[in-house]
Amino acid sequence: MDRLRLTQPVADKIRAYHLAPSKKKEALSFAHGTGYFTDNGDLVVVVADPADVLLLAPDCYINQGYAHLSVPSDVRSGVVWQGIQKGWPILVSIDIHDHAPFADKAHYSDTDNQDDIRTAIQYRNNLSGYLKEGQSLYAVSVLLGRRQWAARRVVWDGESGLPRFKHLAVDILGENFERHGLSAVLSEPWAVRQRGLISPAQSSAISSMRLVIVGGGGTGSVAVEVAARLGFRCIDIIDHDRIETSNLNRFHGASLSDVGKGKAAFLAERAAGLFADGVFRAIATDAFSDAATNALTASDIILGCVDNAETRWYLNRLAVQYAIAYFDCGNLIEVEPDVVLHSRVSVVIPGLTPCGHCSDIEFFPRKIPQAFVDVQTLNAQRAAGYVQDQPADLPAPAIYPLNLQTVSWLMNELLNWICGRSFAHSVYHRSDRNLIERLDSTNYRVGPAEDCSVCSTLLGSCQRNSLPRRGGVVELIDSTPALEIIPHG
Amino acid sequence: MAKLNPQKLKQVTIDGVAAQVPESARIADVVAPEVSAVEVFNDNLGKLELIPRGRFHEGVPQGMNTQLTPIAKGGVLG
Repeated sequence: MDRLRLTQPVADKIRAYHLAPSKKKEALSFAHGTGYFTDNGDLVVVVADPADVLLLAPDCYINQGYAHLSVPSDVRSGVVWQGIQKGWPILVSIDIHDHAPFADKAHYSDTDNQDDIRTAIQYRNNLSGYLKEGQSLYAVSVLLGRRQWAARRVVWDGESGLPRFKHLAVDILGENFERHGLSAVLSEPWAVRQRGLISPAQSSAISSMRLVIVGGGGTGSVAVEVAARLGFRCIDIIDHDRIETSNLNRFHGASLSDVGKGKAAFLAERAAGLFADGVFRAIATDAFSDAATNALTASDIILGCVDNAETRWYLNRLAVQYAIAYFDCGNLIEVEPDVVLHSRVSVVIPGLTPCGHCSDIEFFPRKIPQAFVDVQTLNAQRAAGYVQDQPADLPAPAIYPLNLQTVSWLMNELLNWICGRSFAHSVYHRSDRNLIERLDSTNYRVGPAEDCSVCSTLLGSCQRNSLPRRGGVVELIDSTPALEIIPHG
Repeated sequence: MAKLNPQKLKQVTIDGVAAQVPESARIADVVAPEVSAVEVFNDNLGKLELIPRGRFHEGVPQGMNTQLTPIAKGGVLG
């Protein structure tokens, strides 16, 4: 499914212009989006910066009325030309208009149909000749009703060459997640007990979203089952490890007979056994492989259930760069001098909350991990004494109840975000102080830092910037294929 | 019988429709009176150039390729 993803500031700017209460006329605006294609051919368009939304002054219109508007064609050409100068590999020129004065919903009219097709022809025949080398241009048309968004683009039928419309879901990464463009579905019989908490529209959004769970261990194994039982039907699980006997005190769903199986494959197969209408994929690598990165960049939500700072550093970077919501959890058990259980959830909504680099809550070390430093620099650092190789840590204590607690908080915050309730940017608990610290919009109104090296330079840039690569070699644990698609049933 | 000399014609494309105009044609001769500006690609400058109505007395650029049909959007009442 093609998607148009907007950050909260972008959506606010568009709404303020098109849906102002006093507005009595239709209006037109434009936006420049950066696009990329996912591993299954979907087009994802991201608009992250409000500066990429271009509003029209009243004198730009030839005619602006209650149910019609017209604007000189050179306005569109100028907008596209301005976008071309940015040099983005995939430039998406978005025109946005509303039927807001009189319509709650977003239904395209015949006038809209003719204009969108004419625009597509113009782009293909005229403006594509002005593109820079390696650049491509797409057009998306967005329509706002007072309560609904719609987006579509023209594609050309391969056989007949005739134009047809392909709709995009419109995702808004706001205080609450919005997905427009889907039909609401009635709850399945298995979900009747959650009807009051999750509306039909939210159920539809959940089942349509692509969720990637990074880490299939103690917390990840719980998260997979919780996600499936909440209604997620497209889940990728990334973990390169195998089930060991020592995992069985906390690995959800596994028994002695499962020792030796790949964790990701086991969890995907288990989820498929629970809900045969889903697609559950196992990616038996770490989070940095091409297969994992493709899955991550194609996702709508990333759940981090890992036990290392390196992966969190990478997921935070990827999430902000591709404007994907990132929910992370972690726990820690101290046994000396006393037993203390720590449990933590961190939420990054790109463009809305601080990321892991600029948040007051540091849930991973901000310094670039050694694994991402190139070999020459790393050797130079070692020679200068900046890096000392540490002995491998002993396995940390871990117990099932703590994992259940941590993941339950993680999934509750995810549900809060999707279902219109206040979500937390951070939740933290330590057992020896009877303290639960929950930071949400009521007590922590902090957005991305203006001087954050990640948020201010990479937000929504997608493929315009390359992702960090590991300086070393990533090895698969065996020769089985990295990607397994678990069949239904 | 007089014939038009093809070397004295200029190629133009307006709204995707190709046409030929006399070499001496001005921009005002090939666009409708209500058009306020046209955008054409200036080969010398290497970029799109907006030519306002005040310059429509100038000659039609060779290979002029422009869109004149306005952007039109409309809702559905009722």
